[in-house]
Amino acid sequence: MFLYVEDADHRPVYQQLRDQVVEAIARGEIGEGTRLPTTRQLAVDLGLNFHTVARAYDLLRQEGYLQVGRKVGASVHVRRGPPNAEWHAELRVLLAAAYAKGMSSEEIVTACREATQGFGRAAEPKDSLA
Amino acid sequence: MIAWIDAVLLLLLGCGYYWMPDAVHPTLPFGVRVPPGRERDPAVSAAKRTYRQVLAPLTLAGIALALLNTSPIVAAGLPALFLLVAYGNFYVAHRAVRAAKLKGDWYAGQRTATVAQVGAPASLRRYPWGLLAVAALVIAATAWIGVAHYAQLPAILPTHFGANGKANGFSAKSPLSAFLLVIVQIVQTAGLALLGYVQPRMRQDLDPAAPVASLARHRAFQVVMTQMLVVLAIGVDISLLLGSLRMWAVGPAYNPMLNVAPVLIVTAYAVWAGVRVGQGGNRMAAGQAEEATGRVHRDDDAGWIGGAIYFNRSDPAFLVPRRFGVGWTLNFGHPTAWIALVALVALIIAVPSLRHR
Repeated sequence: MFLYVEDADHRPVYQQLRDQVVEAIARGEIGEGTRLPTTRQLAVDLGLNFHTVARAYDLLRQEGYLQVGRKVGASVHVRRGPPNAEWHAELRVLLAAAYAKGMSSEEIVTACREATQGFGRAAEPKDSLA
Repeated sequence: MIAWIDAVLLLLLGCGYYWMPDAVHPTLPFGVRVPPGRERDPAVSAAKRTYRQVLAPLTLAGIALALLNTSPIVAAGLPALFLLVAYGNFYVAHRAVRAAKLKGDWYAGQRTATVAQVGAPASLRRYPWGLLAVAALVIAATAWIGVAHYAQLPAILPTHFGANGKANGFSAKSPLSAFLLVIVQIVQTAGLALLGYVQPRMRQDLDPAAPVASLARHRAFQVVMTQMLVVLAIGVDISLLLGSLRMWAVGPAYNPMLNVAPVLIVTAYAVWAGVRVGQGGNRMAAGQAEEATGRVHRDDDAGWIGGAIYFNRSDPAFLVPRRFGVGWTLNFGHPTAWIALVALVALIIAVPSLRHR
């Protein structure tokens, strides 16, 4: 799996990283137990400040996607349940924005279906990816 | 003798620099980052043509000078001078491409990004322990021969040889002076072996436009590089072994200048290996096609001074891949780089001065 940091993206870097990890889990590219690089290693690989990566990992840990050990680094460990307290509210706003801008209900549902098309569960617990 | 070594060295350098534009990633002509699609821009092709048209006669002139020269001082200075002029030639091409990029606003509308791979780290199993064992064997053999002959060594040892093969520098016999070259063997082997070990763990500058292929190439490149570094160490160790034999007057007498032959051979091999695989493995096979990512490598000319020296305080890496050439260069904005440089210079100064105790 590859992590990108796009220069033109309006989202802050830590948000880009967090979003990509979440999407990768949803697509089954990484699963329970997958090891992520250490904060330092990922920062070096992406040419980022250590704190930016630490922030992304911290956010993922708080939201219940990662488990961060002292020596072992970060590994995927999903805490089942609602993604976060605001998820439903944010979803309503997102869909409302689409509807308000002129998308029909059917188009919205189709878009949702297409988005979830690529989702799947990871095949088996992977220790790391080649 | 020196004239021939000089000439061969200049030939190697000239050939190396001549092929260099093909060794680097196509999107990095002469140390200038360009977006995919601009690799064959007329400005880039023109710069490449001019660069080679100047370099070829320059190299021939240098070789001719080396062969005709009789002064050792000039012989020592010729490679350095050649490197300087070769850099000037590179810099002209560098400026030309940069100017074209700015003028044409080549990065307008490009979706630039950085990419990193999340997955298995470089495997330790791939380290060429066998080759390292060969180097260790050479060092052990040298030390063993030295120990065996130590008692019979004269009180004054020849530690420096002139171009004519006659000794012109001496020092009193002591374990330090007698085994000086063995110490150098150990230090240089350890240094190169360590670099070979560390380099797969450094930042891989992957291409966001084709990360899968980029990663495969980098992996293969790292294996070749580590191997090449250890082979280089072996060649230097053999030369130092020959030098030690000369110092201890063991074995048949011959012109000590021939001792550099192993080093030249492995250097030629290193150059060939580098040209064959290209920087980052650029010249290695592509593998299967991958879907387009729509992203391109970030325009990262910033921090590169004169297209060759890297100075970036905010980059945590102290060793980064070269922009023009195969291998790595120091990040002079990182304190560790200066420490390493000072240590190296101190070592180079200390070793000859130790000889003349």
